[in-house]
Amino acid sequence: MNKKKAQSRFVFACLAPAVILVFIFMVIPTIDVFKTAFFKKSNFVSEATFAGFFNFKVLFNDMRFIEAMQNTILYVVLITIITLILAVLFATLLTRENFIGKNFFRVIFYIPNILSIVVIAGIFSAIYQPTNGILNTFLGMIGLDFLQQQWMGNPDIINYSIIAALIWQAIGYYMVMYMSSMTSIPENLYEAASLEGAGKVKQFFMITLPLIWDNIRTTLTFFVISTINLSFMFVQLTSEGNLGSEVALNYMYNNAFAGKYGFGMAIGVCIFVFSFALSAIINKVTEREVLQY
Amino acid sequence: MKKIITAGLSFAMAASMLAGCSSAPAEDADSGDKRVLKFDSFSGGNGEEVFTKLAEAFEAANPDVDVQLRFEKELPDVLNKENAQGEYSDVVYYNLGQPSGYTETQLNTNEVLDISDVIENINIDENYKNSNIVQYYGDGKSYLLPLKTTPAGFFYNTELIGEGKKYELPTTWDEFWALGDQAREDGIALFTYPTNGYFDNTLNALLKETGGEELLTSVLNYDKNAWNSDAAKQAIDIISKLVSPDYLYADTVSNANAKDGFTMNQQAVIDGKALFMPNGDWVVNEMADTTPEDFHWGLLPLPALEEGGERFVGSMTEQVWIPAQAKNVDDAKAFLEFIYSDEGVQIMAEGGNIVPTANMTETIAAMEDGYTKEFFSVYDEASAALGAFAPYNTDNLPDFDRAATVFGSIDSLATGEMTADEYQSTLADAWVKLSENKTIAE
Repeated sequence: MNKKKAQSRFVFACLAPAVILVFIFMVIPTIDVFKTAFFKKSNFVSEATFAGFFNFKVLFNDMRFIEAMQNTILYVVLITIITLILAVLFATLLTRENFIGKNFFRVIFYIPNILSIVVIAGIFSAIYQPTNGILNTFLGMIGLDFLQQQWMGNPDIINYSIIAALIWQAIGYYMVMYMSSMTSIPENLYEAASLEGAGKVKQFFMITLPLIWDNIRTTLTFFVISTINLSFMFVQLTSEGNLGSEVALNYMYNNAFAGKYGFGMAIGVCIFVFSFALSAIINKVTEREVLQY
Repeated sequence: MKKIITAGLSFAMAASMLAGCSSAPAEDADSGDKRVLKFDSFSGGNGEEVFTKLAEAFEAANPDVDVQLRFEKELPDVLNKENAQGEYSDVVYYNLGQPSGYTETQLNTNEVLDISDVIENINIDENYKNSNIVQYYGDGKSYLLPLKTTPAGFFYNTELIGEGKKYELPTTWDEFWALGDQAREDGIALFTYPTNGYFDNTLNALLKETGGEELLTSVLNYDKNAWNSDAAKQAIDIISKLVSPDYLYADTVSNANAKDGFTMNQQAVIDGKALFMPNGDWVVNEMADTTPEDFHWGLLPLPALEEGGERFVGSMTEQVWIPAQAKNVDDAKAFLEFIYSDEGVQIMAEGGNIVPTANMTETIAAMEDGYTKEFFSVYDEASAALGAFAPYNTDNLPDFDRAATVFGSIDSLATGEMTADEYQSTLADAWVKLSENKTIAE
């Protein structure tokens, strides 16, 4: 037997377990979701009647679904923009600047990421609680009573309260990602720039940002996926999607496991297509020539 | 040789990874020759003790049956999973009207056993027997058995409101609102609600009060004009006044929509921040840890529309049922009959639970003084309003959420997002859709 053939068999054998697992736990269920979306079906075990595009037709006239998609887009856009800016800013400060307590801040920023989303939902329930909550109590203490709000009870505010919590938990993770690529930028680039008279801001836009661009692109996809997933869990654990805070995955969950399995899977298909398309678009529009050092 | 080792190793790797996936359902442990009766219960305010006693007494009477009790907080999730594997309980205790709609879904998919023969054998009160809770499809066949009943009106603190106390107990809505105005000056809200779902029994009673049994029936059975009457509008106006900023405890909506935040609203009544809330007798146990000793629960039926007018209180039931695919149907039926036997009724009563038998008034009279007796005395001055929403075809209306439309909208009334008129037209539109998709018994 020639060596090449043996090698390819070895590669195949090594890959097989992963491929089998992906197939069983990802591919088959996904196909099943797409299939079920075309049926009227109450739960896992009930009879299914073929309904064509019925579920989708209902879905596109369903105000609650439209609200859920609008909220999801709002969450993705705001969380991505704000977290990205803050994370890059903090990462730059923590890698490029020298000040006391640098390591302390690294730890502080990263802590929310270690906590499970269940704990975060618990923390923010305590923060936003109207009478005894930390936020309203603090505002009262410093004499800003007029700013006190029903943070999780007012439909005009609730989405921003949730977004704030999700940004708080996301910053640390992305900050560490950006820091890792920033530390690998050679110091001599900055030295040369400062000899040429470039200030800190200019250095950031001319050196740091272009050199971590590839990293930022990757994280943008993470933003889309993790916001869709985490907002679901946070909403499920706090407002349960009421008061105008419905998000797509939560709406799917609440339908699929409340006697409307087929309809829930149709929502799932829409979310699948949406997140795929959004990631692809983001990937395309952020394409730049990769700079190397 | 190398080839064989490689193949062998990779096979072992694949096999070890897949081995974790196959888990056969554990065999029932050590039930010996006994017939197993699986009783699966929602774990709620009623506690587990009374069911343990019921099971022990049933086992004593039927020595060859082993009752396996299980209490789950997320019962529908557990049962859905087991159903998918072909596993079914023998008796399920899970109520209608829960957010998961599990019981309704099982009914709609014909997964609930017809227990008309059980109903014929037991001494159940006629009102309950003929209600659409028991005869869910209204076709004379019975599917759900009320395990217990309790009056569900407005709960309050008798140490704060009552004769000779700080506030007087209102008997009409006018007095009720006047009390609200008085309390507001003291910085106390008139009303709060644990979550919007707690309006179910209040709504039944209110509809019966403003429009009689006729209005209640037409609403519960999706008469398409049910919400267009003046009586229905009157009921809606009362609800929207109850949850208006003038009378509602300000944190109600925030708390009601926080996970387990309903206890905070219940605590508001205990702490004297709000005077009344719709609830049921389980609130006593549920809040026992945070209730001070000088607090005493009272139950107010709905105030009358006018001086001397008839008063109503919602009559809440909790239900048990047998899955159509239960393995041990005979013992399951015997167990349901046992709940209605003298012994079963006695055990339930000792735990403060009243089984709706034909002679439940005697059962209550024979009880020691306490909350159960006090709560049931509400029927001395008020009539019961009883009923559940009729089934409808969820497959045809997948985007329609009855609980969100009827009760969820009450949150929107409270936050000012919706007016009473909009609420009425929302309900009227929904009832037109529902009337076209009613499930007719086959």
